[in-house]
Amino acid sequence: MVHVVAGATNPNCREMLAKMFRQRCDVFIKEKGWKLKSYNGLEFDDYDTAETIYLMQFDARDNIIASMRMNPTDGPYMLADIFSSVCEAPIPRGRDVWELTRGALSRNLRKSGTWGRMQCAMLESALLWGATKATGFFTVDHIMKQMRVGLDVKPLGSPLLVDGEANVAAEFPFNTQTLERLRSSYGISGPAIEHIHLMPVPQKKVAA
Amino acid sequence: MRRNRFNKVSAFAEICLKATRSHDIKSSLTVTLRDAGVTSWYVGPLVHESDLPVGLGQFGLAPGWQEQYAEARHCEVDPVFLHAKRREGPSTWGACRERAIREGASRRALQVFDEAEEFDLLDGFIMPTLGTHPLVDGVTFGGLDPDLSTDGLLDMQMIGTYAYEGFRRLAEGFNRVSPYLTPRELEVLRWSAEGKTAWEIGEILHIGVRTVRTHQTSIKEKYGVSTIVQAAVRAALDGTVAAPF
Amino acid sequence: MIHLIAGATNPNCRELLAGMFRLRHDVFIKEKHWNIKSYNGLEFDQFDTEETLYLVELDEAGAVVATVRMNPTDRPTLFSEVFADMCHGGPPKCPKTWELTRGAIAQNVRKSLHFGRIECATIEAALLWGVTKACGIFGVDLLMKKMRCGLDAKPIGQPRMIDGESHVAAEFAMNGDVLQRTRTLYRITGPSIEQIHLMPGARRAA
Repeated sequence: MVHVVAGATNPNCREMLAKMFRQRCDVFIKEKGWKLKSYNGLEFDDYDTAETIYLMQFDARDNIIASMRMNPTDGPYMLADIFSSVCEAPIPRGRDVWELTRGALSRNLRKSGTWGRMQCAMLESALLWGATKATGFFTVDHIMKQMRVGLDVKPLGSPLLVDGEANVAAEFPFNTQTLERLRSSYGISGPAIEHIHLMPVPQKKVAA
Repeated sequence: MRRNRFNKVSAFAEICLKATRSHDIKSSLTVTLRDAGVTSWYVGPLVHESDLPVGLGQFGLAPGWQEQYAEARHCEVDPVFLHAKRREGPSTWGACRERAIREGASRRALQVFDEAEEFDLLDGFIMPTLGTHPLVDGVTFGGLDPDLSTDGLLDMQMIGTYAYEGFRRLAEGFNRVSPYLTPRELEVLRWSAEGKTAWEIGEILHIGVRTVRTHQTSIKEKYGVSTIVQAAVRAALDGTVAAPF
Repeated sequence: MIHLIAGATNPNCRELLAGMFRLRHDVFIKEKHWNIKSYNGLEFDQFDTEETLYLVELDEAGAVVATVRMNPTDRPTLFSEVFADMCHGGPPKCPKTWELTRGAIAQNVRKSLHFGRIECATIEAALLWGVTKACGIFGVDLLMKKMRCGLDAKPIGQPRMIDGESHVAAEFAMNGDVLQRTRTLYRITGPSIEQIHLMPGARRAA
C-alpha cells in the first residue's frame, strides 16, 4: 500500500509521518551509522518541510516498510546546500526538479518487490506533480541499479568516497517512457500509488 | 584538472546512454581508458568465451591476450574474476594477487598474472556488476601502469558502470528501435548478412531450408521490409548484427 | 475527494460504484431523459466491464457528485458498437486511447469547480496508465469548453443532433503539458486524484 504524503507537517497524516521518521532513525542512524540528529527516536532535519513530498509503503498490518523524500529544488535542498562541492555541472534547480533523499527500506525486505513499487510510485508522483527531473547524491552502486531498471542517470560530478563507498551527484529524467520501462523491469502493471494526501488548503476567503 | 576529469566521465556516460551500436561504446571506452593508462578491457559475464550469451561480453584486449586467456581457460581460476564473483566491490589486480597468495591459491591461478605481464598488463581494476542471471558479470581494465589512485579508481568504477549498462542495454535491444528477434532468427539473419543462401544456412545451422525461409519471412515481417538484404542492412545499422563497415 | 476505480465489479468499491451508477441514473435518465436502461435506480450497460476505469468524486458528506467512465479503445466501446458512423475512417482502436463516456456532475454542484477537477483527474489517470489520447462524443459546447482549457480537441466526424443537442466525435491528446495547462486554467495545484483502487490481484507483480 503506497501513500504519497505532501508536507512534513500534514495534519491529516501525523501518524504516518511519525512512523516514517522512526523508520529513518532505525535505518540511517541505528543500522547504517550515519551521523544524523534524532529527536526521541525520530530522524528529521531542515529538509523536511511543508513543501516536501513523501512516499511511504505499508504492509498489511500498517507497518512502514519503505519511504522516500522528494524536495522541489526551487527552495533549499541538500545538493545545493551541503553537497554543492560535488557538482561540477550546473546544479539543477527548479520547481520541476526533485531532489531524492532518505530512500529507506526495511532490512528484511531488500530482496522483495517493495523497492520496485517505490520507484514506480516516485515516477508516478513526478508525473502527477509535473516534475521532469530527479537529482541527488547516490552511490555508484545505486546508479547501476537505476540504469538497470531503465532510468537514464547522468553524472553531475566526479565520484567521491563516502564511508568507503563511491558516491556521485547525478540526475535523471522523469517521463512516461521511463515509467513504462520501470514497470516492465519490475513486472508491475498499473499504478503503484494508492493514496494521495495533499496538504489541506486553508478555507478560501470568498471573493467579494 | 578536476573539471577535465568530470568532463571525460560524463561525456562517456552520455555516449553509453545514447548508443545505438556497441561500436560507439567500444571506441569511446578505449579512448577514455587510454588516458588512464589502460590498454586492455573486458566488460561482461565472467565465463569462458564460448559460454557467452549472444551480444554480451565485450572485449578490448591487448592483441593475442584474448586468445591465450581463452585457450588456457583462465577464467576458471583467475583470482581477479574470483574477486568479482565474491561480489566484494571494486578492487585492483594487485590486491587480488596478494589475497590469492595469502589464501594459498594454486600455481595455475597465479600463472594468470605472469602471463598477463607478457602482454604489458602489470596491474588493473576489477568490479562486479549486477549480473545477467545466472551469470556473474564484471568489468576489468588493465595496463602497464594504469591510474589506480583513489580518484582513478573512482572514475574507473563510473566508467565500468556505464560501459556495462550501456552494452547490456544494447544487448537487450533497449535503445533499439528495431524489433525483437529470437536467438534463432538472429543466427539466420547473421548468416544472411554474410551472403549465405537459405540452403547454406540450413546446412550451417543443421535445420531444414524451409525452416530457414520461415525465419527469414518472420524477420522481414518484423522489420517491415520485403527482402532479407534490406533486413540485414537495418539490423547492421541498429546494431542487431555486427556492421560489416 | 476523487477516487479512481478500476473495474465495474471491483469488490473493494461496491458502495462507491453503486453511488456512481445512481448518479448516472439521476443525471442521464431522470434529468436528461436519455433513452437508456436502468436497473433499480442504477444506470449501467455493456461498457461497464472489468477493464473499465472510473473517476468518482465524493463531497464531504460522502455523496457521489461527479464521475467519468474511461474505456480502452482496443475493446468494444460505445464508439465501435453504437456510434461507429459518427467518425470518419472508423472509430479509434488503440490500447493507448481511451474513450470517455458518461461524464456526469450532480445538479447541485454543477456551477462549482468540479468540472476542472474531474478534467484534471482524467488526464492524471491517463498519465498513470500510459494513455496518450482520449476520444468520445461530446456536446459541441463542451468541446468548446475543452478547447478553451487548452486541450487540442480535434473533431473526427460530422456533428449530429442527439437529444436536441449538437454532438460531435472528437479526440484530444493527454500528456503532462495538457495537464499543466488545464491546472493553470482552473487554478488547481497538485494532483486531483486522491485514492486509486485497482482490481484486487492486479497489483501483484506479473
